[in-house]
Amino acid sequence: MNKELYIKRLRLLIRALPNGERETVVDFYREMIDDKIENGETQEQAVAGLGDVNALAQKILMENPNRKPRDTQSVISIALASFCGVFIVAAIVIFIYSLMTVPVNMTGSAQSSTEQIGKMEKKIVTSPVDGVTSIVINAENKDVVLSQSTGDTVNITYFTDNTQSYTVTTENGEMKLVNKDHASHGSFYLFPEHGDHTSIIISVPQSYNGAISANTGNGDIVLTQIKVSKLDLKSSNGDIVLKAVTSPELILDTSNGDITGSICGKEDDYTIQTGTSNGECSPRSRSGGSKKLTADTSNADINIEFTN
Amino acid sequence: MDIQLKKGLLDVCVLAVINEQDSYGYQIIKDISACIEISESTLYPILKRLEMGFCLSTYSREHNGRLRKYYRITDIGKQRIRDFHEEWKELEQIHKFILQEEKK
Repeated sequence: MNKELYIKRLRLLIRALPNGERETVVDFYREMIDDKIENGETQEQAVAGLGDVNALAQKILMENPNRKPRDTQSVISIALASFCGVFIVAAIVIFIYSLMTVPVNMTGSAQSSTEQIGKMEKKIVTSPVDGVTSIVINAENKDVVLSQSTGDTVNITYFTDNTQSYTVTTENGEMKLVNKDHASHGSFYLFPEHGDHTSIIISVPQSYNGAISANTGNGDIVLTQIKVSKLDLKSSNGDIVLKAVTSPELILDTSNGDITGSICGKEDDYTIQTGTSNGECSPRSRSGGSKKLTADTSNADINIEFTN
Repeated sequence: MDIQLKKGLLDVCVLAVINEQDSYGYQIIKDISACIEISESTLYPILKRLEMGFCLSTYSREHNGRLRKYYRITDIGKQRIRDFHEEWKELEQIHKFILQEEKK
């Protein structure tokens, strides 16, 4: 089998993965084949070295928890049905359904509220700012929006229906949200963007001086008037936008999204490390400041300015 | 070798390789193969896991008219190697204990 055919088959076989993840996987194996060829193997040898494409796809799907979760659940349900009858299956389906809907584990003084908006549930988790030393957002594909709040609580707002799961925990000062967008029925293929459009919104009071880290696959990360001790943001295919952000340590990383915006402070105060492989970059790297700015992108532009 | 044990070791092997210098998939496999067998499909989830754990960061660079993805170790990744050395000492203690028990 030649390279293009192998890649094409692989992409088809792992189509159940989210788009971003699928392309990352395909890029990885394409690069492997290219490097093997460059090191003297023939196209046939390089492809054969990766093994049977069906077996490879199987392995990739097994390792990826983000693929259609209901598949395995329905398999389990069918197996149980043949043993235990309809009653137990019903109980298990209810149990699974309860797992699918937003587990929120909270300790300490965090509180949660729910509001029904059409088919979506709007959830707000609040925690007094005094107890929070770091905020961690791990979103699969959603936009993450951070801005200043007027009160004295950290608020995390998100929207959910039964096609995705959210877990919010507050433990030892860390307030953490993990989001997974599950595929739902056949609509996953027809509307791959289904359920991905709603942002995760975090508002942080002015008095907050902890760390914030956020990670998303295809979403943007936007911060407005935030003051933090350390900022660590990563998006694979989305943009990172800072608007009047104050922090002595910023780490910003994207593969294909722009990094733009403004940081409050003087450029001279920062040791700057910026890099892009295929885009434009401002400011340039410099050393000497006690504060740190690291911005990295592979294929997009960096444009950050300093304001007072 | 026990598959679970090997899995944990491979993570550290990958980190050790990129601790030398930034590297890419094919080269990492080549370097590790000198000591332990590793396939492409084994490496991919390791790299992904290490990236998710902030042990490494990635960037792409042009190479011969195509993009090649490079992996760079982070401070967390370096700490992970140091932790491994500590854990290894504990493992040695356990090994010693097992040997002693066998002699009894």
